[in-house]
Amino acid sequence: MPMRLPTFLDASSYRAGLRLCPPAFRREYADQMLQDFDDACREAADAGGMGRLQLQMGLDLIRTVVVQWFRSGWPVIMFLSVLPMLAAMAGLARLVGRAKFDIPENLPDSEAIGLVLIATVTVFLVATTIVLTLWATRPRRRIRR
Amino acid sequence: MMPLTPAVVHVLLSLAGGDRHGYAILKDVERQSASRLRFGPGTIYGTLQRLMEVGWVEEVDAPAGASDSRRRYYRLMRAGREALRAEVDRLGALLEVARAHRIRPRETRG
Repeated sequence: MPMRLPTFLDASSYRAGLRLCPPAFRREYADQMLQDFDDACREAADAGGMGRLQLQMGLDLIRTVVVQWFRSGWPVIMFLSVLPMLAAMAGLARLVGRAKFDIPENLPDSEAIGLVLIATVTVFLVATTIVLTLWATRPRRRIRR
Repeated sequence: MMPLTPAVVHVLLSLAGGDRHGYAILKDVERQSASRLRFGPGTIYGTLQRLMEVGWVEEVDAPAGASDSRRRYYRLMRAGREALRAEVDRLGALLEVARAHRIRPRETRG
């Protein structure tokens, strides 16, 4: 029985890698890319150049994931999403700083309250970023000509 | 106009030969470059996506005798052909300069 060489990038790991692409690109091209990967692997197996092909395909996939996320505008959207939130938080902090709160110093849970407030603001910030990012990168309907 | 990237030039050149699906373009690029250049599917579809956005390439229905109906076919549009022609002219002019500087000697015929 011929010994089968281990492969570092098979169809299932390539499919898993495709899931890292932005949703819009994935919906549009992932099936075709997977089909092309299968065909290329089949040809390379016959020709005996499997290792090189897999390396090329792996590097191409990594490059595609990075390029497509940048093309999706996600970094800019994230920055623009975070910016108004940070401005709002800074304004709020200034207002709160001016206000007078009579918090007793011997309150046992004052640090815990502070932590909860920080955590709430952080969660709100992250949730807003995710929602705005998903909204901005939502797939558009494809027009077939 | 800015010089086109190698991926764009090769995809446009491949589609200049007729409607093709992604994998056929991938194989065609290999042939064009005598196997010196091999683009992965991500590069090919990323390039096609950009070319469709600028209106140089369009997606068309599969031809009647297509062996695999799951394949999606792409066609070079007039704007794409003009851009390719301009790029080939630019490269031709560059080659002339290289010849004038004796970097690439003229090919002798016969």
